[in-house]
Amino acid sequence: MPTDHVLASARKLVSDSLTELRAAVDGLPAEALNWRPSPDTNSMAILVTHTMHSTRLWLTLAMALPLPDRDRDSEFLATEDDPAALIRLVDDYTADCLAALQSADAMDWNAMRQTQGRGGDAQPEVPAAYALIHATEHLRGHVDQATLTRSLWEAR
Amino acid sequence: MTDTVLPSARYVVKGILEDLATSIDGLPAEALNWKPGGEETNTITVLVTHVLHSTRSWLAVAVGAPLPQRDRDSEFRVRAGDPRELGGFMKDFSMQCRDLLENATDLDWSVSRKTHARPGNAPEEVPAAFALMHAIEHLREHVAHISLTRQIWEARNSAPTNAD
Repeated sequence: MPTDHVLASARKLVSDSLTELRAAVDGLPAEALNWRPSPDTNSMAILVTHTMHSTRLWLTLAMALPLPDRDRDSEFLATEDDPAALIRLVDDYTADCLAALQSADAMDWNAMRQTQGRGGDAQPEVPAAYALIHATEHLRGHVDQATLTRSLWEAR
Repeated sequence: MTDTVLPSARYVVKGILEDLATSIDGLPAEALNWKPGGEETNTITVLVTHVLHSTRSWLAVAVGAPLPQRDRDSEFRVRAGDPRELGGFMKDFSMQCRDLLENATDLDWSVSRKTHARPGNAPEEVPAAFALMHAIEHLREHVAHISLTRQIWEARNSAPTNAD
C-alpha cells in the first residue's frame, strides 16, 4: 500500500470502475455490442473501445510512462461482432491500466506532463494531478453509460 | 510547493457542473420524472438531487469542512414539479460545491476524515484524497447518466409515431 494517498485512491477507484465495465459487457450477445439506445448515442463497442484507450493514455500520462499510440477518432467508429473479443480488449487494457498505477509507489503530482493529440484549445501540458483525476472521472462516466446501455438493451 | 491536486479538482468539478447544467437545461417536468429503463432506473430529478447532495458532502469531507445535513434515502424519492425549482436547486448546490474547493487551502491529502453515514460496512473514515477523488468520479458518473438519459428522451420524443 503506497503512502501516497492520491495514488492509493486512484488505484481503488480505477480498479472498481474497470471491474464494473467488465460486468457491463460480460454475457452480452453479439447483437447487443453494436446496438444503440437511440441514434445519436454510442454503442457498447464504442463506449468500451473509447474508454479503454482513453483511460490507458491518461493513466500513462499521469504516471510519466511512455505514451501508447492512439487514434481517438477511430474509437468512435468501432464495431464488434465477437463478445469474446470485446472482453479481451477490456481485460488486456485493464491489465495495462492497473500496471501503470502500480509502476510507482509515489508520484510528484505537481509535475507537468505533455499531452498528445488533443484537439481544440486544450492545453499542451497538464499537471500529473489533472491527468490522474481526469482518467479516473472520465472512466467512471463511461462505465455508468455502459451499464445503463446494457440495462436498456435488456429492457428493450 | 504549489499543490496542483486542488486546482485540478476545481477545474474538473467546474467542467462537470457545467455539463450538468447543460444536461437539464430546457427539459420539461415530464422528462425530469421519466425513467429510461423502467422502475430499475432513476429519473433525472433523482439523479440531480442525489449527486449534488453527495458531491457537497464528499467535498466537505475532502477539505475538512463541517459535514452538511443529509437524508440520503429521501434523495431517491424526489419528483420534479416546476423545472425551475430543480434548476434553482442545481445552481445553489453547484455554487456550494465550488465554494468548498475555492475556499480550501493548504490541504494534507493523507489526513483521515470522518464521512457521513454510509450503507453497508463502508469505513467511517477515509483519507482526504479518497474523498476528493470519489466526489469527482461519482459526480461524473451521474452526470454522464443524466446526459445519456436526456439523449434517449429527446430521441424518443422526436421520433415519428405509427399513428401518422
